[in-house]
Amino acid sequence: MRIDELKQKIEGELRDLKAEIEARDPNVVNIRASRDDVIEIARRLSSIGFDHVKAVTAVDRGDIFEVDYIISSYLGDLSYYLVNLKISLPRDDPRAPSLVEIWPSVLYQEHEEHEMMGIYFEGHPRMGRKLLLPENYEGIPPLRKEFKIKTEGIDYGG
Amino acid sequence: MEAEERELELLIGPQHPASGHMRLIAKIDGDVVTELRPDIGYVHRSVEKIAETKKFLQIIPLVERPSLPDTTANNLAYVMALEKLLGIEPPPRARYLRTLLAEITRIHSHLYGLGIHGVMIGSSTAYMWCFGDREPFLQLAQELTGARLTYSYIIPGGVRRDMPKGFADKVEKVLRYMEGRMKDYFDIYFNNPVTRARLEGVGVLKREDAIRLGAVGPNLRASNVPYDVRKAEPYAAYPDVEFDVITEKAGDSFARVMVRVREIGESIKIIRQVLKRIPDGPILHENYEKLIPPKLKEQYKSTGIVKFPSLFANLKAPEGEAIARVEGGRGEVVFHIISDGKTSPYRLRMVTPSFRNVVLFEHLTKGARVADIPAIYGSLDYFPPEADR
Repeated sequence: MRIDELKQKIEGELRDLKAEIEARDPNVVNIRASRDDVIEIARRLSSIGFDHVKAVTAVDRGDIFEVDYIISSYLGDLSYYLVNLKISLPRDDPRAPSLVEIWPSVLYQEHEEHEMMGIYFEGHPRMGRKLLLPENYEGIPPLRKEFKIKTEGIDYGG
Repeated sequence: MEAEERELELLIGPQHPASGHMRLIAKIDGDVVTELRPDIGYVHRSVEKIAETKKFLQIIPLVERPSLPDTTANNLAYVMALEKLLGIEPPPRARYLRTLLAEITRIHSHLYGLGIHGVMIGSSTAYMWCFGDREPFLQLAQELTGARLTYSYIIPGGVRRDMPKGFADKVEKVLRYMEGRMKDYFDIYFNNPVTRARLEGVGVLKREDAIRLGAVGPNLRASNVPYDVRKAEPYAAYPDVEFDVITEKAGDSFARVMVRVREIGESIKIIRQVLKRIPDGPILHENYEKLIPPKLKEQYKSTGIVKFPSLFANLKAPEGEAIARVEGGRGEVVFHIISDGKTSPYRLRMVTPSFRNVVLFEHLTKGARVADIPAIYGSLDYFPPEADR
């Protein structure tokens, strides 16, 4: 299977949904979708053999947040390809449906992006709980751009 | 008086319950685990956030540190993602050298995992032997790279050093030694009835669960899923070498150990092929080589050691995004870099094998005996700093 064949196959599957699909050479297919369609898209990708998620990346784009799912398969030809499912969320309402029911492999990664970027994944069983941060941490989710790292600097004794 | 039936909460750790800093919160009924939740994050070091403030080259040591026994995988996956952004590919000799170091690292990483697992189930012999036999591989790596663990050997466009003189012979000696040792390992440890009793049938990961939960590396392959990035999306010199993807069918703790042991044999095969076929030529892409000032170039030609051209420090990656994956000792490493054209990434996502595998703690311990927790933990080759990043 070639990348454009995979792209066509995915286009066929998602025909009736609003999704922008493009192939990024040599083995990545980008899908841009709205949060309303993401569950259905995930369900259909899963039904054509995309069996796990390798990475969930939340990105602070300033006016919006983006959540990227990097999806692939452990079996056969599909294992060469990666699907990068991208959804944009408004900054004042960063909610997205969790994909944990379809791909349990996102359990820890959505949780991490929740605490680090402040995205709320609806339907995820561990929202509001801490994963990597200290339990008493309060404040801006640290991966947001407005969170600045305090640097120690160098004291030259002058 | 009537005995009250109740579930107990057992807190294991966070002070080194086994090989590292995490806490396991177990609910137990008698000595049967009804629920176990790994509490992670004790060694979180904010790699992703810090990376946004560091230059591309400074990020190499940053991403290496969390996976100390298996640094090459992170180094390589990060540099491969960066090279995709830069649109640059390493010359053939550098590709071979990358595979050489990656396989030396895989062997000593597996020995590390097997040794720690040994001591977790009470075999101090396995621990001593594995750690002892890891040493010759660390010395090989040190001779190649100049460091025991934190190699930072792989740089955009190539590698930092060429092979030293007589290196191939030394490698061959170590490989022969290791092959000879394998028999002793089976006699004393792997075929030991106590080892078998502790591991066989314990912590069984079914094939469909391994896939569903997104397990990686030997843990995935021990459940009979033949997925290996070196075959799925070959990189470095892997398209040119022959090796088998090792799988086991049982999916239990013993199967996971066996995959690692047998993979050492495959790595030995790969290293021999690399040393036999390694082509002559430069170890750094010509675009970067020509940036080296004449005096340093002379030194580079005579010693095979690259001093970074100073322009490298301000390397800018063009706007865009790239994803790269590598099969490390513990499993698949994924880097996703988003660049806005500056000298630091806009966003760097680093997903390590231990972070992918942490979910297995909850899944495999349900219904297990408390005494089996270390047997299962060790069989996962889980490394807390690697998971926490």
